[in-house]
Parts: sequence; C-alpha cells; structure tokens
Amino acid sequence: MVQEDQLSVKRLRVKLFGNLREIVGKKEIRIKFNPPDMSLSEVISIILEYYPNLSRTTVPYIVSINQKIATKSAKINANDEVAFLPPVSGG
Amino acid sequence: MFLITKKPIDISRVIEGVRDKSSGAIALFVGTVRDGGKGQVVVGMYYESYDKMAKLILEEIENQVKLKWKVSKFLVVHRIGNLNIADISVAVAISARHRKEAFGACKYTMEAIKRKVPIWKKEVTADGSFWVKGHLLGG
Repeated sequence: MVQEDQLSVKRLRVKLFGNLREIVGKKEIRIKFNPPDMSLSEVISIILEYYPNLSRTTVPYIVSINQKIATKSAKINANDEVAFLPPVSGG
Repeated sequence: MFLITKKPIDISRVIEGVRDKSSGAIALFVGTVRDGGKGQVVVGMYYESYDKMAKLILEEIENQVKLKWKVSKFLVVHRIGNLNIADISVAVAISARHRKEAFGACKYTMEAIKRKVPIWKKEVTADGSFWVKGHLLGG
C-alpha cells in the first residue's frame, strides 16, 4: 500500500536570518526534496543556484539542521528544518 | 529559564523571577541600546532571533552554569524587534547562596549569550541600517 505522503512532492523548509534573510528577501524558502540520501551540501548548492545574491555574499555563515550546527556531509530528511545563520550579535 | 519577548523588559519582574529563600545574592546584568557605534550616531536597534535554537542553546548554557557554580535560579530575558536608544535589550539574573557564585555565573552567561545564541542586531543610523558584525557560531 502506498501512503498518501509518498505521492506528494516533499519540500524542505530552509530558514534565513539577519543579513542573509535580507539578501534573499525571504524568511523561509522551500525546496523540492529528493529522498532518500540528500546531503546538506546538495541542499546548499540548490539554494545558491536559485539565489545568486546569496552565493556572491561575503557574509560568512554556518548551516544548522534541526537547530544543531551541521557539517556539509550531513544527511537531510524531509521533515528537517535547515537554517542559514550569519554571525550572531545578541545582547 | 529563557524568555524572548517583543515587549519592554521589566527589571523588577526579572528580579522577582530569581528571588529565592535560600539565596543571599542576586547578580543582575542589564544590556541597553547605546547611541553610538564606530563613528556612527545610532538612533535605534532592530533585533531578531531564531527562537527555537536560541532556547536550546540557552538551556545548554544554563546546564553548564549549574555544573560550574552552585546557583539557585537562572533567568535570561532577551527582547527582539525595534528598540530605541537606552531601551533594555537583555537581562540576565542569577540567584545564589553567595555573591561569588552569582557574579561568576552572571558574567559567564552574558559572555556565552554574545558568542553562542542565534540572535542578530541591526543598528539604525541616519545613513541607513547596518547588521552588527558578530561571532560565527561554532567558531
């Protein structure tokens, strides 16, 4: 039996903050998700291709998966929350 | 405990939040928006946060503090949104049996907030708005 969610196209949520949010012009983007073994570096490549301003920026950033700092080789699941985080400046 | 709020921070409520019968000390740090950066006249500050991750990291900081110092209660309140000059942006309040623990834990917490918590601020000046250069997480 095929479950309903396997028929629909899954989309990954990617959040952007601070100056990266401004560069892209969106708080959140959704990209088509290709299971099963998509890595974070593939997700980053897709986003940089769609948003050239982001690929040109000199602002350094790290990427998190489910609120944890992630390495580029990390594997992504469809329900994961990915976020691009520029240097923090709270306080 | 960690709270993120868009409303003004009420310091008396922050103190009440950590007051404790067995504690003889409360250390309080209050961060406020100042009117100048590097040669710029700042007229306001905008803050934003990745709430879910900020809460997780503050929990880690609280756990580290409680391993290092014997503290009673721990409360951090950070404001986000648009703030004016001299508005309170952050308050750290820690109660402990003695002042040494309270002071140590309060300073450690504030330094950790600066380096580890996903909150960003943007200075509003007469010449435009500029994101404040900060610390890359994990660096």
